[in-house]
Amino acid sequence: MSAGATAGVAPRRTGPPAAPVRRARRRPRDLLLPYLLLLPACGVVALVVAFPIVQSIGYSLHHYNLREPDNAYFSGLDNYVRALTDEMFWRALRATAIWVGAVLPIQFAIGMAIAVLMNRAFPGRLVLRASVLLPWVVPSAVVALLWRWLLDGNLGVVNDLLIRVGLIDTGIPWLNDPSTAMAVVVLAMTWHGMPFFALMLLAALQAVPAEMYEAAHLDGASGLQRFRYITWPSIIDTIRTTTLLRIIWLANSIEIIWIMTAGGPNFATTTLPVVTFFEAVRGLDFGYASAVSVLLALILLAVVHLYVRQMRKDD
Amino acid sequence: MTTASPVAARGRRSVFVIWLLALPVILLSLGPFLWLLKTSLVPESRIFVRPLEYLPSTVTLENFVMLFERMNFFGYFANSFVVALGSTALGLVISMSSSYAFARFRFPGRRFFMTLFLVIPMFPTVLILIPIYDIMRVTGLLNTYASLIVAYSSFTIPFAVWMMTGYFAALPVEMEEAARVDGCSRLGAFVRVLLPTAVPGISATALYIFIVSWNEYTFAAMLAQDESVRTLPVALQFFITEFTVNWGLLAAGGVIVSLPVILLFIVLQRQLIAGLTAGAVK
Repeated sequence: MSAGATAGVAPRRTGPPAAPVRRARRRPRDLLLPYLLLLPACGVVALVVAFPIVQSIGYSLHHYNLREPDNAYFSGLDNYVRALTDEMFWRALRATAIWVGAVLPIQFAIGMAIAVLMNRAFPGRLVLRASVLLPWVVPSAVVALLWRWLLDGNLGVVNDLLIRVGLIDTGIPWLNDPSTAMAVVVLAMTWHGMPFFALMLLAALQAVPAEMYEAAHLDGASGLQRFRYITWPSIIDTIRTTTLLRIIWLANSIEIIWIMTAGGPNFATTTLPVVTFFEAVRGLDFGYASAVSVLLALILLAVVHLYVRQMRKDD
Repeated sequence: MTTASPVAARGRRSVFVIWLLALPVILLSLGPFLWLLKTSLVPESRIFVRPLEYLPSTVTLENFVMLFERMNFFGYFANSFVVALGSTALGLVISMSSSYAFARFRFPGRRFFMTLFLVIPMFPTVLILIPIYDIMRVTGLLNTYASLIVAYSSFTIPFAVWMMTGYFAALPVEMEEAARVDGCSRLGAFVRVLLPTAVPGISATALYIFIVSWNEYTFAAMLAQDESVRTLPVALQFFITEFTVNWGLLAAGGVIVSLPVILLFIVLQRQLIAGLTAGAVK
């Protein structure tokens, strides 16, 4: 390792060369320090994530149903074969893709628009800020329940509004109709999640030093140029990280769908995590549920791999 | 001077345009919850009135009274609070040093460890849920606060590490370097220079962990089924199966579960905005 690389606190970007003072103070202990700092988080994570994952992979290779826990035995890839030859698995995979593919862009677009709005100084801005974040603060169990109530076929306010406007004549049973159920769980999730994007993007926008805008303004840069050369490069990392976290989070989410439709009607909203939750909690089939979970994890891993590779290519 | 008036007119117009855009956003954000609030405040009989009443003709607290009389809502409230607070404390304390390491050191394996924390939350909850259930059962921790606080660290730590790394890395390192040149220890520079400027980021992280823990349903439903440790979202679920049709009571329950987080957010939000507008480097 070269001396320059060992200067741990050296500025990342171009700057003056590291002060010789620091190199003189460097001791072997300092080389170990970052690893010691990582120890607490890594230790806890090993206990509550790594170990359980290994155990889950183990479960997935066993016939293991909690109804008959004494009858657990190694069954090889049986659970995987069962999943991959089950039409239900492929339908659930498609539902998961639709779910993520629909919620993510809508949430991002709305979140970005809100962040840009909130970043402007205008009278009454605090009202907007406080209102906008409410949907995210409301617990997902309540969000699911709330939208079930709003979308109720008989007493729901959504139907009432649509009838008043004249778009429909009679109430639509949104959650009981396989052709509309996915659209309305997407609606509920979008409502719930859009403030997350807004909050993250706003923080990124505000981290851009005002001096940079002032300097650009003095140099005669247009608004578009300021966005292109200052704002965008400053927030792109936040966008990438936030989007990636969101894809993962959406693909794994259970609560909203589970409480709103329990995966129905006619499995129209059964995503892969809902399959696993159903098999584990209702069927108590830990072996099969673990196998489906492992498959979901592998699919996500592939998606993230492609995403990160694309990110590196863009750099 | 002659240009002052057109500029002012343009300013007024842009404020008007901003509010034209902001208003639908506010309505969309608040509307659904206000409807829940309204439902919780009207007598059961008025819920079924057609056409729907957009403004309640009578207001009552009977739903809330019934909620607390029939169910141990104070107890669930306390359970949720202890679990969320414990998760926030544990998440922040455990994650902070890692974020500092990622933001301020370049060391072999850094990318590997950062990727590790990114990959961890990828795993479906249900995948670690089953083994964690077994671990808690074997160690006798089922139906304790500790079981939830420990289980929640599986998602709070990776997110906290990533979020705080981002915030720390965005802060200029020069101030800490200056402090160290002036004789400050590394720990001193972290505590006296980096931490104070990172307060908005840390608050955002804490807020995030608290809310997510308060709202969590899946682990809680599995690990804390006993009434003595049952948290609010789960209690609400029990409630749904018990009184499927009673929307007034359900709405009241939903409002009670949401209210503390909303209040906390309003309090913390001021602090957040104050911190953000103060600016790190001036």
